[in-house]
Amino acid sequence: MFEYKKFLEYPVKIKNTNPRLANIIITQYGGPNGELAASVRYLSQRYTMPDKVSKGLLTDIGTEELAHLEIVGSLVSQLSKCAPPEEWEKLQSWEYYSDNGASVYPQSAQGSPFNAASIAVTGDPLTNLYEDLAAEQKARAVYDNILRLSDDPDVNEVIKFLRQREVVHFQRFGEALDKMQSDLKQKKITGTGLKKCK
Amino acid sequence: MSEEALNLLKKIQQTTFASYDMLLYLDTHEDDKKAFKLLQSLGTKKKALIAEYEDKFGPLMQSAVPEQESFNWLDNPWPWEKEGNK
Repeated sequence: MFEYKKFLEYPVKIKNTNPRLANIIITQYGGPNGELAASVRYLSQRYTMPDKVSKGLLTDIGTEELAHLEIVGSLVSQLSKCAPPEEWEKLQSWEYYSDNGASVYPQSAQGSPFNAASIAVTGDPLTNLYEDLAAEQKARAVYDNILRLSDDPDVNEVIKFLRQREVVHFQRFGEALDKMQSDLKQKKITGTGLKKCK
Repeated sequence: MSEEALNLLKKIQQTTFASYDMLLYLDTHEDDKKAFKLLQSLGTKKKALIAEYEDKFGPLMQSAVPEQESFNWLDNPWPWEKEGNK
């Protein structure tokens, strides 16, 4: 089960509102490479993992992604809170405002609502880990794109933290994959490919 | 939030993050005893900092709510609000 901690993993304190930037960053909340997708992907893949390293790592990274979801939500919220309607219009973000006001809704930057089609849970442990490595790279690339678009130092400090976590997670998933491949070779684990379930 | 509370919270965020990063490291290096020692010392530090905060300023964990003198879990600010961060 989960227990809530009443603080962010990394502090978010944004001085200036900027709804346009909020509408870009929202993609890491509910977009195809975002933190919600990451968390659901990892926590859902756990059930068919054959080895303790992958079970534990998916649990722990999947949990950290929930903390990142909260950080991204805080960024969007602070960037849009109390921004006057003129600012939304001027910054071409009125489409978001018309449905969601200044709240935080899981959607991509292009306006598609969160879609689980952006994640894969195959039941095959190796395939899942390859998916996770790709997912971390995609999330990192999106944070790089955001850093190119944003010139707000308060925002960029937080985005850089999130970006760095993608790099660390990629490293850990790579280690889990190496371990799994070596365990499979040595026949320490089964549960992949065409083998029947015991 | 007072400056003192914000400063203490920042230390808690740092220690919590360091512990979590060590946890992920140990997930794929379970035999690294030196790393586990570091995680243990971070854990002790974190526990003391959280206890100090909860004693002075209110609960950070849901599980600490019953240990408070009154029901103050709802006190503002919440983590996503600017006022709760430094």
